[in-house]
Amino acid sequence: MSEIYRKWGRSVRREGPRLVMVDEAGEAVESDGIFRTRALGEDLDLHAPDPAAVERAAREIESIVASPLSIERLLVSEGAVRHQFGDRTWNETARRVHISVARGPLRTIFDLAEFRFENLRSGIEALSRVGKERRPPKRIRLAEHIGTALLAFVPIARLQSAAPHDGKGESIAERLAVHEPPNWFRPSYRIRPRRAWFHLRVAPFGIVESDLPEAVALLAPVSPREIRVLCVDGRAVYPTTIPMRPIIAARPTPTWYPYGAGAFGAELML
Amino acid sequence: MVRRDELWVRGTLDESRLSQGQAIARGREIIARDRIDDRDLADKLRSDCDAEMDRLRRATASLKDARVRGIVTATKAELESTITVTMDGISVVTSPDDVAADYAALRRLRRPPTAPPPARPLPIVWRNGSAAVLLHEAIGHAAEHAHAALEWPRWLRARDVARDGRIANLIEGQPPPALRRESFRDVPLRRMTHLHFEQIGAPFELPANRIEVFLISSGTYEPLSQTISIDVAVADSIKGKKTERIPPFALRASRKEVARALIGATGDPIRYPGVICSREGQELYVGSRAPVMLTAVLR
Repeated sequence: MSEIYRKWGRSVRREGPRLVMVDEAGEAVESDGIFRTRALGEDLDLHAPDPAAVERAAREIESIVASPLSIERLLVSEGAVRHQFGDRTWNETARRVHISVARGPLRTIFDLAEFRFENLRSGIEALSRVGKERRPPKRIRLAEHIGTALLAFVPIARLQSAAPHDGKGESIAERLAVHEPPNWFRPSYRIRPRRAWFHLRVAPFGIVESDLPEAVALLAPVSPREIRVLCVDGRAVYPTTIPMRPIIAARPTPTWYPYGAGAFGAELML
Repeated sequence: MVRRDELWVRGTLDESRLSQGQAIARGREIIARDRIDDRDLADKLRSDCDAEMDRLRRATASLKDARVRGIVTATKAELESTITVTMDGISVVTSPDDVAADYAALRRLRRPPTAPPPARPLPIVWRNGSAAVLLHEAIGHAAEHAHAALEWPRWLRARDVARDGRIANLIEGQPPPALRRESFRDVPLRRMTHLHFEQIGAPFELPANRIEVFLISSGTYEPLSQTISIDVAVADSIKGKKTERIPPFALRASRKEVARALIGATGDPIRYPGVICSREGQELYVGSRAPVMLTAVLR
């Protein structure tokens, strides 16, 4: 049996100082275990993303970062996509922001899916006041954009959120994220689809105490063993590495982040 | 550009990708799409790409016990053909011309560890051209980032040669001459093309107790701290006349420490089978040659 998936996309991306506009369409066919893709080279009947919105977002980020901080990497994009799988067709739009800001040997990294930069501002403001490395506090609160990055690794109850389509056009149902995911994730037509949990959100438990030291920025991608963060503790700001430890409270937030097949913000208390 | 990318697992085709496109730069804007306006050029690139992929398939047809990924990219400027052969998680990156020899070498090198990691750090002899990876990170990436040149041993030469013949002296801190990109969707970046490391009159005294490195699984350069990390895939521990295979291990050092530790080299440059360099999400093949080199203890 053959599965045929087609995707048409238009995107605008600000990458450093360059503005890149890409139009492309492609087809993926999975048949007898072989995964084949090819470019279609077709004209696109899709509205073009707005370069001005991308440019404005990039400039807003650039205006936030001032010496002695520097932007190491800046990617801001907006895309419009049409998918087709079998007889189903559906459209999506997406915004993505990836930014790393450096100060000396420290690098803060942010991945966002909206052109709203409150968390970025607070992380960058903290980086501008950073002091020396410290041991991690006994208890710490992770800001929502950091907690969500951990969801793939932590053994706490998580829910898949409902959405209209997965990578094979099937609807995504709300359910506890346990055992094997029922839905298929296809980040590009060139990548073989894999099963994944979509739009994960943490099931709330306990009370996240607001007066604890707070991790406001990631200093490295999360790993299953530890997280390296920028911590705001009263008036002090310091880099610290937190060994993975039990989560004692969790609270979901409504902001969606582009980790894996998507995850909602999660304030966590460790 | 036109690209074919195929993955063969134990002699069976598993994945096949065909992509094409063009990018037009206008000032700071790049307009990219998956169609090539010049039909004659498109036909030629597709024909060149297909012919080279046929050659690549013939060259790898007998590799029935490995995972083989072949990528052919045809552009106006070049035709590039790379093959990654993986067995038991260990890879070499090679070409249709060299794949038979590199596959045979990979089979010879593939042995389970027979000894634990050394209890204390030892000097390292970088065989099989593997010093090219160490210096790719410590010299090549530093030059890409325009980091200040360091004092390297006087006997060391380090050049990056672009496909059009332009040469950069990396020891002097000259940046790689070529702007390269993985696909038509990508922003071209100043990247290494062919690294040639040579020694002229270097000292070389083989320590009795040492590690000998043959293959490396990955290397990284952290531009903020100017440190390098090397994951060694295949290495032996030598104690006097006793040679034992040791498990994979990792090294981490600043580039200054690497410069200080480089204490010897011998012979002509040897082609190292395999550097796929990833930066800014763009994976590019970098040709790499280095003589046998010796580093003092790197912790």
